[in-house]
Amino acid sequence: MNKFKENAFKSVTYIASLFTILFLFGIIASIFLEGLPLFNFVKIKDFIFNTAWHPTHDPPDFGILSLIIGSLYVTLGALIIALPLGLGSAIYISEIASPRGREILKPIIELLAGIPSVVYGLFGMTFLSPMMIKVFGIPTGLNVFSASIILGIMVVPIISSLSEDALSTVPKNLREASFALGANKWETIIKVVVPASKSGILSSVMLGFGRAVGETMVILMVAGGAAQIPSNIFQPVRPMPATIAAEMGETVIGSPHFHALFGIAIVLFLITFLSILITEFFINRKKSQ
Amino acid sequence: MNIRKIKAFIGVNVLRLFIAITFIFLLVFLYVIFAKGGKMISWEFLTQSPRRFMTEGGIYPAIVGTFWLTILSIGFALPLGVLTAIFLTSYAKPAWLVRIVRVAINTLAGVPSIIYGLFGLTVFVQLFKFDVSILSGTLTLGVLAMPMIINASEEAIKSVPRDFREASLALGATERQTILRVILPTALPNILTGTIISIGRVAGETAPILFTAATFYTRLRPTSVFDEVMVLPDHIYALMTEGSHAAKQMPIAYGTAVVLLALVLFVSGVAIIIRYKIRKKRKW
Amino acid sequence: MVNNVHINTEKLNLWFGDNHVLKDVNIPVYDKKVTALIGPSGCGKSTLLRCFNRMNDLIPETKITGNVNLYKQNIYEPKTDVTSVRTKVGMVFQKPNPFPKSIYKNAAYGLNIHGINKSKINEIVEKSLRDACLWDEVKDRLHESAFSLSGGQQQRLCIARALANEPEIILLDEPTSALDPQSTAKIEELCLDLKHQVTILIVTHNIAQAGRISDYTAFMYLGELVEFGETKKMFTVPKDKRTEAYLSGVFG
Repeated sequence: MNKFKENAFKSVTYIASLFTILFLFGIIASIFLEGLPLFNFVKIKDFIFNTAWHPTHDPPDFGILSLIIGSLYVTLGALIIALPLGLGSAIYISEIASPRGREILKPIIELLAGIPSVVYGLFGMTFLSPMMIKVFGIPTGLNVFSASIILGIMVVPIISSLSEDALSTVPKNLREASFALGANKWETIIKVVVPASKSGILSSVMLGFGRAVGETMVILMVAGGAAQIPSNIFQPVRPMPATIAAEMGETVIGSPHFHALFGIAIVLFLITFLSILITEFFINRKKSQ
Repeated sequence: MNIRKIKAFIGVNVLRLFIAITFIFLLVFLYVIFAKGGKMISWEFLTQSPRRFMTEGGIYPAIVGTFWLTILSIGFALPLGVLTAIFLTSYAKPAWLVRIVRVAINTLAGVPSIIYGLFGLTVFVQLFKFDVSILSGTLTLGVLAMPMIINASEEAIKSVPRDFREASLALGATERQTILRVILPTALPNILTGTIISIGRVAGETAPILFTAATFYTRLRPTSVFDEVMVLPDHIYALMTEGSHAAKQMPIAYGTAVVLLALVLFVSGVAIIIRYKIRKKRKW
Repeated sequence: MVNNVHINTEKLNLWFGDNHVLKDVNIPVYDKKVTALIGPSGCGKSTLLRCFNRMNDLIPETKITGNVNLYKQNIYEPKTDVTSVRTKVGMVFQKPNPFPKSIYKNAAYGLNIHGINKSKINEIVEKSLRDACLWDEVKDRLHESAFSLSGGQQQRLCIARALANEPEIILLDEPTSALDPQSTAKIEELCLDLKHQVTILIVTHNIAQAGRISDYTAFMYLGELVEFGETKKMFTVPKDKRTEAYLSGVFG
């Protein structure tokens, strides 16, 4: 009887774990099954390398290069903003703040990670964008620059909290050794602590990249929505997630346009999956050290 | 002052500047939202349905919708997540299965929320024929919450000292008895606070329910899990992008944002404080 | 006086990965006696102790050959029910490790697990706490957290918790190394009282402690059992040079 209960309970935990695999499989299967039929109409090469995205024209154009580039621009911009702010906060919290300061700052950063993206989007649309127009005298404030700023701020908590974890696992004796050799705090941070937690910091950046490239609401509301390759950062773009979110509601299920949106999801998934693999690589490298 | 001291001085203050920029931006952000939306908040706003094509009235149905979607999706994901965490921490065999499960969890954690929306659309809405409904939205959000709950639970279980497990086994307890009577009760407060903190994200998610549960406008309160619902995040988006009275809709969007933000920050804030108290109090 | 062997090992070898930790250990533990395991750090004495209730099973990549016989029954046989072995062979750890539960629930843990009925539990909990010389100190606060007790009291609670299972043997793994001298003295006294009910096997770092409380002593060195015998004899005329050196404090 006891043996039976033991095995029953154990089996339940195994079955629950299998659900994670099932869900992932379901996600992959659903986007591939709905996305691949597109390639009956469009060649993969044209889909990825063509810049014209006119899904409702007759005949339609399903080239997503400008959407991919739009995503990469906005994501890169977000990382350029988030990296110094996030890493800077992490180093400050881990190395410079007093224990009391750390106890306050850490939970605040954690709290910020929970701010809904749609609220950031609202802020970007109604406050940041008009401000951009006024300050820079540009025709639209919904552009790469605005989207990068908002997205960057969203990614700060991710980079900050994960980098902080990495920094705080650097053993104390490493720091003490550096101090004992006459280095000051700044030199110890730059020459000992940060290099020692390089893997953790890199994986936090990759996670931030994954979050930024897949974030939907902010870019849907702030990036402007024009399917073009921008010539400067003040032009609007239409990143991949925004395209899916904006157009899925207006398309006929089963139409080429519908499949094309799932095709975009496949590309988006592969990009994020690649970023996850790179993250894993950094984490494993850290473990093996 | 020598050059090393100057470098150190500049470096430390640049870090201060970075953290200051982050906080100033966030203060401005919070100020703008609360200043513009705060004045919308009234008893009527919280308890009435929208009127005249979203240009008047309150957001009560969206509050109810968000409440149910969040609660039900946690109810779905928490048991699965905790059991998976038990598998990963206590049984963890065979090694290849653990590896696959870990890859699955990490990948699920990184999948963009819009893809969760597409998954929910094809699987729950179309394949299972649940339609655009609370049920479809709950399941979609539940899957999205799984990796967060697993990570929170695993961390909580790992923080239970090994001593407790050994003591229990040495008294002749089985693995199951040890988990259910010692490890889980000890880890539970941390599992729950960790889950609640991450659940803020679930309550604020917009994209996954865009095609699975949300409707722009309904005056009816949901009566079953097969009804579609209004939810706070999608309501904000809808107010800003649909309808024809932008000037009248924007203040309502701000009001809704205040409610959503206050809810999320309040609930996770309380969880963070409780967790802090637990950590201070515990003696092992 | 006839001494019955209660539990013994036969050609016991143990590896953690490639590390050969126990080498051909043959040791008898006599019924209702106190046996002390002594030796320098890393000699394998704690590992040996954990073989008697199969706690080493919990450490991954452990390989064991040879037998551990509890009344002639090898507990390493595949069909053995490990939980029943651990119920018969209780254990107290180096660091007091009460559960984050009330004093009462700690003492009753083993009984609850084995599905003993409520009225009986009350009775046994009281008896175990009395046997562990803790009853008078805690009888008015049974439902307070076990962490409200001092370190020495916590360790005695752990002993009571083990006793509540009514074990035949108790394994003590350096039970006083985390305690102050007064608490140590109490636990030593307790061992001398308890040996009338149970067989005691104690690992200790403290040679004087082994001398005070044990009837038999086993000296281990580098994974081997160097010498086993009556404590009095071994302490006065050790047979092996290494034992003599250890007892006289040349190394440790």
